[in-house]
Amino acid sequence: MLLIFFGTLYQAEHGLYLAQKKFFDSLIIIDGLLVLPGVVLIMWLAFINLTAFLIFKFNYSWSKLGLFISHLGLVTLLLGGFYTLYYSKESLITVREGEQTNKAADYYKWQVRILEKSSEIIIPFEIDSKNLSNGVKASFEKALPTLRFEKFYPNGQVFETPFAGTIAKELPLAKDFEQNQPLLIFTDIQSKEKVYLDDFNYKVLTSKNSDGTLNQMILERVVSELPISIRLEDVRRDLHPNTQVAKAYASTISVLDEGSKLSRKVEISMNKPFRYKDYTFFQSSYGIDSDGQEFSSFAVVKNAGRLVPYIASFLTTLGLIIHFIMQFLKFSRQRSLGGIA
Amino acid sequence: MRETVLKLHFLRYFLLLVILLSFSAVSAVEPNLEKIKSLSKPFSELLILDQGRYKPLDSYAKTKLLQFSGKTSIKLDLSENKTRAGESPASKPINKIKKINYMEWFTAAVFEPDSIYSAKLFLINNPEVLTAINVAVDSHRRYSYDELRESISTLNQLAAQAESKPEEKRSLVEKELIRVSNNFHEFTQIASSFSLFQRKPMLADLAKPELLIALGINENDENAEISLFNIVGKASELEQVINSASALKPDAVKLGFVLYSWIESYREYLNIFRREEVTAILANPLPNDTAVGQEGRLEFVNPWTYFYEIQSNPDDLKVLANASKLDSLRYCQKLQQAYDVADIKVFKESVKTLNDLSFTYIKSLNKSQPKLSLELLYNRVNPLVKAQLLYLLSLLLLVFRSVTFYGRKSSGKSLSFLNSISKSFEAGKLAAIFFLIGFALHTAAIILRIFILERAPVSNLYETFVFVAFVTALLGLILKFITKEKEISTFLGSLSAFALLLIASKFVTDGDSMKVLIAVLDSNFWLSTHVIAEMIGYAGVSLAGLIGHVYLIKYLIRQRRLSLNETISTDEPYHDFLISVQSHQSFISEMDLKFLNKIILGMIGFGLCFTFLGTMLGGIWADQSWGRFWGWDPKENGALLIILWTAITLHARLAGYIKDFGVAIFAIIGTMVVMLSWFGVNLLGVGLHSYGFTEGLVINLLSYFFIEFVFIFVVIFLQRRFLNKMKS
Repeated sequence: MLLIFFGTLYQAEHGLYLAQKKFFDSLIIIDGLLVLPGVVLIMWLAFINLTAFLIFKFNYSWSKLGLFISHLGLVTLLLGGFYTLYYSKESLITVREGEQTNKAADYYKWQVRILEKSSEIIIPFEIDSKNLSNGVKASFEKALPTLRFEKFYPNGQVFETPFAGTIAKELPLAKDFEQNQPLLIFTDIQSKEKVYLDDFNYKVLTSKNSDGTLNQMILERVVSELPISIRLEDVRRDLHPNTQVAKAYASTISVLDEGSKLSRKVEISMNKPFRYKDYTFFQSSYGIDSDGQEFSSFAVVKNAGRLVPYIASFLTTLGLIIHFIMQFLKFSRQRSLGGIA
Repeated sequence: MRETVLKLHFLRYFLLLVILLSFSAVSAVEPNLEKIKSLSKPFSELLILDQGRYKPLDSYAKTKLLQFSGKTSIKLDLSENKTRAGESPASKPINKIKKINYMEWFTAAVFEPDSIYSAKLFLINNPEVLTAINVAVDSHRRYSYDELRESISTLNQLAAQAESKPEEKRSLVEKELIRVSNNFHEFTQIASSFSLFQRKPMLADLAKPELLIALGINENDENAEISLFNIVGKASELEQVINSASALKPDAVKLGFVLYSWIESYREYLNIFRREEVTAILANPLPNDTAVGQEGRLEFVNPWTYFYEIQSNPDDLKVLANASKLDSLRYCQKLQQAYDVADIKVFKESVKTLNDLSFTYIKSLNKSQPKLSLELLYNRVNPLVKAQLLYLLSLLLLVFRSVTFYGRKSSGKSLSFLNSISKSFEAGKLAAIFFLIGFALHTAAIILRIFILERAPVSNLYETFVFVAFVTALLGLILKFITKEKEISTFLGSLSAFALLLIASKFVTDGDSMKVLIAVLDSNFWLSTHVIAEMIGYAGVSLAGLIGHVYLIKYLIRQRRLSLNETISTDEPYHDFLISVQSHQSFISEMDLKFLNKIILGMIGFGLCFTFLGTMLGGIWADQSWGRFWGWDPKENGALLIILWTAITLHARLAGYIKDFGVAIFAIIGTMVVMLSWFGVNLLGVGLHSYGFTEGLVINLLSYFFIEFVFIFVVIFLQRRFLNKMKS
């Protein structure tokens, strides 16, 4: 059992060196001929192993109190990690000064919204693989009968050229994953012309239905509505004197609860987030848009389990310290008895 | 209409001041070392603003000299300039090389730049750079302003070309070119910052009597010297003279041409002030109606910056005339005048008045007052360098002692001399005293830094090394009291603190070690808890690795002894050494090793506790400011690696995979893991330190790893050999 424990930890180390997002969140990593367990798998194994160890094998005695507490803490930490991994949600709100919104955009997930006369079809998709899943393709075909799906670029750009017309170009994936701009390319079945769908200025494309009515297509980040809406009152940026090094960013917002008419003012700054139920709002970035209007972006995290790691790390540290002190006392007692001279 | 007339008047007057300033051929001036020395001390106390932080000029001067030349002092070769007409060469010594410190250098550079243009200032590491700019290679790798001045346009072109490439694609030579070019410009900026106040002879043919009178100069004195600032002060008088004397008007075309070339010659220089990171020579505010208060504008300026305002907008010419009435500029002029006549009293008073002006201004901004005197004290005492030296002394004493100690036992003749010395004083006690004084200085340094910066002393690589060195020394001290094993504790404390301070000192050329914090780090609570816990953990694990070395060496000596027969034949090479080893062995008992092993385990456990605590606090901080507890970023992974490695070590021992010997080896690997995690961010974030620093770091780190691996392999190999021998 211990062997598995060590083996997995060693594996985890190999994994860490690669330091890649995919490495950490997947169960199994296949890279050429090399097959490694993903960090999540190792964490699950460690979790099962630790729990089993604590239940069946642990030699309960006062002298091992510290050890017990610290290992219990680790189990809790892993549990918290799993909860966060599977249930937490991150998104981004961008508001311009003086404006109000309750919509938060997802970092990585995108969707195509097709507006028909009376209804609205939403086709969400993820951009982390080069190919769209067959399910997504099928829903495109169903929703857009006059268009044929051609290609998908996770990060692409459309150029207007004077001679060759419109050209689509695939760009390498951005290091910051949320900066990728996906591009969808369709062909109009009747006119054989290419139809490009990107989110540049929320360009609205239309497609004809069989009965001649028009559909509007919009490519956008998956938007989720928050239970509160926020209004950006003021953004501040303090610089260290005589430099461009930021000393602090801060935003004053008004928070409007759903249903209630009253709003209250809150200040969000670096290291000082605003919390509302399971949601936490963080100052993420600051900027001035093309109209000269200041805007502020807030990262919004929904995580009901955010306190778990706090408790877990407290437990583990406490356990470690208890154990260390006990060992230390034992060591000095031995020395004073002349056990080791 | 009235406005245009006014503008014309100002233009005329402006033309005049341009012409009156002569750029006569620069003749090398011999620096008056005594004067520089006496004035550099008061000058070092001037408060300035640099890189977002108020500091004494002393700190700035030190940073700059280190940045340019990699040293804190510079040599002046006075022998070259001495042969002047009318003096007999024999009256002076031939080789007169004087060393001046950074503040003396800076004082000379500001008030009398001509005098140090020949000093070997700029460090250029890469000979290819010199070939590229056509300068002869010097064995000392340092080159003077005079040497580089000839090739400056080539250097600039090459540097500009290199700068146009993306950072990661620049070669080492290109990086060096950029660095040298930037250094040259920064020095030019420093050397010309007071040129506004420096008096130059006037061009004789333009010194019209009417103007001389207006300027308050004897009209017969055609060689009178005058500074640009003097002329500015007489702006209204000059204007009157120009308006009344019609004889001056026909010169307008000629004057216009000179104006143009004057602006051109200064354009590049003035543009420097528009860079994002402005270097301020003075910490004194501009008048309210120009720059204070607007976001993104300069709050504090170099005197010349006024002239930038004028160049960019001719309507602001009034600013120039008003500037002459500004206290800050008037006292700068006084500084220069006091320097010229070597009047220490006036010089000191001017510095004080300037500082008072700055303090009042800072107070009006409701900012905390800069700790000027504390920082000066810190710079002057330089406690860390002294602590490092004391640690080294203590270390050497202990080594010396152990040599004589074992030598005595082996009764070798060659060591009798050393014996007599070591008997005459208690080397061990002396070493302990040195260690304690070093530690006290080290503590003082850290406390001073906390007071000066008003934050935890762990915000950059330099500071973390200083702090970890402090913790290891402290651990050594604690060990000493707990275990009563005085010598080994002092030895471990000194060795680790010395080694870590040595690494820290490599970062000193990296610029100001008291930089301001970026927004996300600016949180005293988290910085002081998370980082400090992490650093204490680093210290524990590093110390464990160090003791691991000691353990292994002692272990091998013991094994060697056990594997040998009791008698050693005199034919054996290193006979004496073996004898001494043999006698040494009697002092390495099983108990000795067991004790070291316990300490290693204790240190690893200690390290694990604190690294875990630190990492979790870091997680909480990250959760507070970014909304995630863990994000797999390199620094976080590094910390996790340390935790995992120390946990593995402890578990592997528990499970019986490794014994005491293995624990020592694991501890050494643990130190390597710590180093990897410590530098990890810097290795990945290439470009943070753009002057060839990261490359050097990689090489050093790799060679450290290499040496450790070799050490481990040799140890394991020897261990196997001894074990086999014993079996057979």
